[in-house]
Amino acid sequence: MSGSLVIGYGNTLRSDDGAGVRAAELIRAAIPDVEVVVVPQLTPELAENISRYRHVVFLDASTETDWQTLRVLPVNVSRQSSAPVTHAASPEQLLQLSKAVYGTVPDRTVLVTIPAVSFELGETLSPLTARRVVECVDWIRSELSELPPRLRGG
Amino acid sequence: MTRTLTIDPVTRIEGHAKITIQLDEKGAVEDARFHVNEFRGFEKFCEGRLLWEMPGITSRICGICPSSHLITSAKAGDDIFAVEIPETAELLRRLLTLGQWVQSHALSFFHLSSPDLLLGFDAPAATRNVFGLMNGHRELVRRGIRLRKFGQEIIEILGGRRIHTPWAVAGGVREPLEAGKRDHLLAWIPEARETTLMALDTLRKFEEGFRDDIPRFGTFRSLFVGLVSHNGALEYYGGGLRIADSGGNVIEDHIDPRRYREFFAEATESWSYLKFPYYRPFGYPKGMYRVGPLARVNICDYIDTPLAEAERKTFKALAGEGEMVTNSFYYHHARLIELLFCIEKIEHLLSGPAILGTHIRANAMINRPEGIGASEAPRGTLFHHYWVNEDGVLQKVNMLIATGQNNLAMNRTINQIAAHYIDGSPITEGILNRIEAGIRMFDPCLSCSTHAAGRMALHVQVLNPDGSLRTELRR
Repeated sequence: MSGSLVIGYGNTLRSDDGAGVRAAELIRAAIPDVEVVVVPQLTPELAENISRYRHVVFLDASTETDWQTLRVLPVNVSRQSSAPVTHAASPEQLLQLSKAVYGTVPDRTVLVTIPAVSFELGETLSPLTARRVVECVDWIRSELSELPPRLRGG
Repeated sequence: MTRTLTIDPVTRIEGHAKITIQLDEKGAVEDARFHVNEFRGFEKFCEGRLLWEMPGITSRICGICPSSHLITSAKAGDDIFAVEIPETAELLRRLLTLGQWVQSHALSFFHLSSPDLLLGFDAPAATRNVFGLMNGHRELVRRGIRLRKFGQEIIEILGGRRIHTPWAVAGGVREPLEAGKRDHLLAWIPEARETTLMALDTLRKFEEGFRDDIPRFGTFRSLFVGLVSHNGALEYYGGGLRIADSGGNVIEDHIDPRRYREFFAEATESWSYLKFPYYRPFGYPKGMYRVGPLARVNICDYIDTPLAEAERKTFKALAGEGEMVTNSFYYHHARLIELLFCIEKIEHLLSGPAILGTHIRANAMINRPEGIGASEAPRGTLFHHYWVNEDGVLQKVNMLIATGQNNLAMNRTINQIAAHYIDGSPITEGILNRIEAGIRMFDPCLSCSTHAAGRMALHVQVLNPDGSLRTELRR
């Protein structure tokens, strides 16, 4: 099992919807030790990647507008086994698939949601989202420094 | 007296498709319709864009088969440039197309259809999914995930990313293939081949269990359409169009795809945004035809890879001498034969020296006011037709999409399934699932066919004669 995997997802042509991808790309440039995957949507084969890591972070835009900061939400294996994994999946479903197919899940998995306000056609982030995307790099540094040694590297 | 219910396709429902089944007084099926409710209109908003942008824009139509749109768009650009692209560029485009087929066919079989096929239509809905398959089919599920990943890796290695790569351009491609990456892909071949053969063996065993269902799953005579090579082999990138009937008679052969409008027209119905293409000389709806794996494996004279050709011969024996396999249930089987073809063909392409060439792009400008590209997408023949001004600004766009070409056949299929299984007795979840599976056999891509965003999801409604809702199923 390896250390940390960051999965950023979203549509970079729909403004803030691409926040997860933008944040993941910044992390890739700033923290070489972390494995980074960027995808437009979560697909079933990511379960194999997930099964190889002890620590997984999903980065996604969120449309909830009653808060303006990064939110860190624990991701657990979905209890909804009937949920189909088809063209796209949720973080919970991917954990479930990882457990079902590969018999393992990361020790710690979180979803970091980035506040997003504009989903118009375009490749520019809104000022609020752009600030929060940059903050993701500091957040992941902090997250990594606080990880128990058994979840780091190796 | 029965009642016809008008269903407004704009109504917001869960998902992007709906099936309605209209019952008569005796509880028998009077009509069944497959409605597609979404519309995005790529053809319209591409007007005014530059030709050079079109591969990147149209690949955004779909998250499942973006590479098919990319390649077909680039081919339309080649036509407008009036260029013959370099050999390596064509080989690389072919490789990308095969990678697209692998990931899409693997998704269709292992993720979308296997739960029905391996667990049965009557299995509890809560377990009829990829997780339910883990009991007894764990290795197949694991291998299915890996096989799709192989297809994705081909796309990612060539295009720089898995989805929506702008790698193919009018005149060729942007980047060559490096030897190290070629070797990485070649290393996948033994596992991919083994997985596909395992899937074929599994499907053959389980087809026996559907002996009662299969004759009712879209068995009817129709035309079949697809590309074949100049010598009649299964083709996916170049070649000409072949149109054949169920009796195996070739009606049109080696048609230049640029003449597609002479042979195909599109009808519309008020109850669906998905158009109804038909073979123009036969009129609507008599000119119903099928495209995609069943059509391609049916109409070709042979497959030029040994394992897939052996499977094709066995497959064709399902029909009478010289005739077509007319049962839509066998789309699944044909899809796996094509997967095997892809694996063999990918190995062949990667093993030749020309795939590593570096002359990959022909430079040209606007030389024709109009251009047409065609290729075989996973679900069938795909056409992009562009009209440009002298600066390359798009004046008009027409796209004939694979899923749409199966629209008449999909509606015929669900009518047949519904009419057989709904007979006035209580309608079970298993029956509704059979109807849904009837659509799934065609592996429709509604994002492509209406150029709409979204994923395949279904809403089945059974209506009483008075139009009231008897039962429904949401997916």
